[in-house]
Amino acid sequence: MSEQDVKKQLRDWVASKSKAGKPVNDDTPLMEQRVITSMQVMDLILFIEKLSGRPVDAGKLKKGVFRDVNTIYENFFHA
Amino acid sequence: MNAIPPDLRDTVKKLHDVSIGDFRNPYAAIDWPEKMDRAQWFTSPRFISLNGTPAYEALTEEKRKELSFFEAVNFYSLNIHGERPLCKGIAERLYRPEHRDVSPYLHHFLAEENNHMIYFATFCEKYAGKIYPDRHLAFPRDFADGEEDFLFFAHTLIFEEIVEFYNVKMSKDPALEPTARAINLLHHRDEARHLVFGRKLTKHLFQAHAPQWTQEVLAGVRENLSNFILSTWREYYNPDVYRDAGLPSPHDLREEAWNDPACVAHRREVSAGLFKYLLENKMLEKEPPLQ
Repeated sequence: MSEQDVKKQLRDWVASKSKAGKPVNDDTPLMEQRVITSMQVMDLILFIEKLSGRPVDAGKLKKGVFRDVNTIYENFFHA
Repeated sequence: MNAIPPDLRDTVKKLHDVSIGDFRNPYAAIDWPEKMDRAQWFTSPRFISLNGTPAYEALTEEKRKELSFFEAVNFYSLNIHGERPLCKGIAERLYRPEHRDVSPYLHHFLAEENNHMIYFATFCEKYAGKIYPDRHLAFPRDFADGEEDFLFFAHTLIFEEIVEFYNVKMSKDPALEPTARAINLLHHRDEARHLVFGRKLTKHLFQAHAPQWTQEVLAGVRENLSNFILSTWREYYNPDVYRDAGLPSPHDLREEAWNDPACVAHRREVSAGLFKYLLENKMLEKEPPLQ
């Protein structure tokens, strides 16, 4: 899957979960603007696992890895 | 907010006394079989997360029993992940001035939660060779006065109310593998007391703090509780379980089960008592959506 395809799927997923109803761009701050809440992170991790085909070790995640779609791509999909 | 109401004080005294009489050695409480025959029910069939879905209907009884084993591993893993922060939070609150009067019971709470993790982890490690990973993350944030304390005990109560529903039913299910039944029974015996305490303390904290909160804080607290309930339920549908049981497309299966009317109805049934409590005490204004 290309970078653009992955980012589009991530944007679509976030938009489908967001209660704010705001448009989601690749640099929209997801947590800072409360587009998604900390309690939706578990679902986000599962979605990343599904897209990447690799498990995510939540215990080793560093602060800021879910900042925006670009950051998620860099941390979980960029080889 | 140091004084606690007389009825909560009486409850703490009674629970403290009963807990002393019901104290047990967690290492001697269960006879652990050396090997586990997985061709048994480890989760009551009607509590398997896929129950009621077309995918479940298509499974053989042998496959359903295999699935019930991994469902039990998930249930026990969720309990471990819920109890770790709970132990941390209780330890941090021991003998704080506002919790001095309830601290004698907090010691039991802490000890019993530790015991539960021993039961759950022993089963998972001994028979499955693993504990399913925790995918829940909490981000630091600022709180209004009393908000963090209230949310800590309210989250604990929500988690325990849901878990207790299953413990009660599965501790009485003669079809369940004896070790699994014993774990549910031992958990239930302690949780029943935790819930009596949790319901009274959570109500007390809300009544003491909510009147001082702004409308914005109060709305945020209610949204937090609704989100927590939803997030707790989402964890019951674990694609790792379906993968380990050999079922295809585990992530899609999770979403299918989550949206299946039979599963939605089940979540409503289990949550009914919890919702009644939260609504009666104005902690929620309306039932949260379970979809």
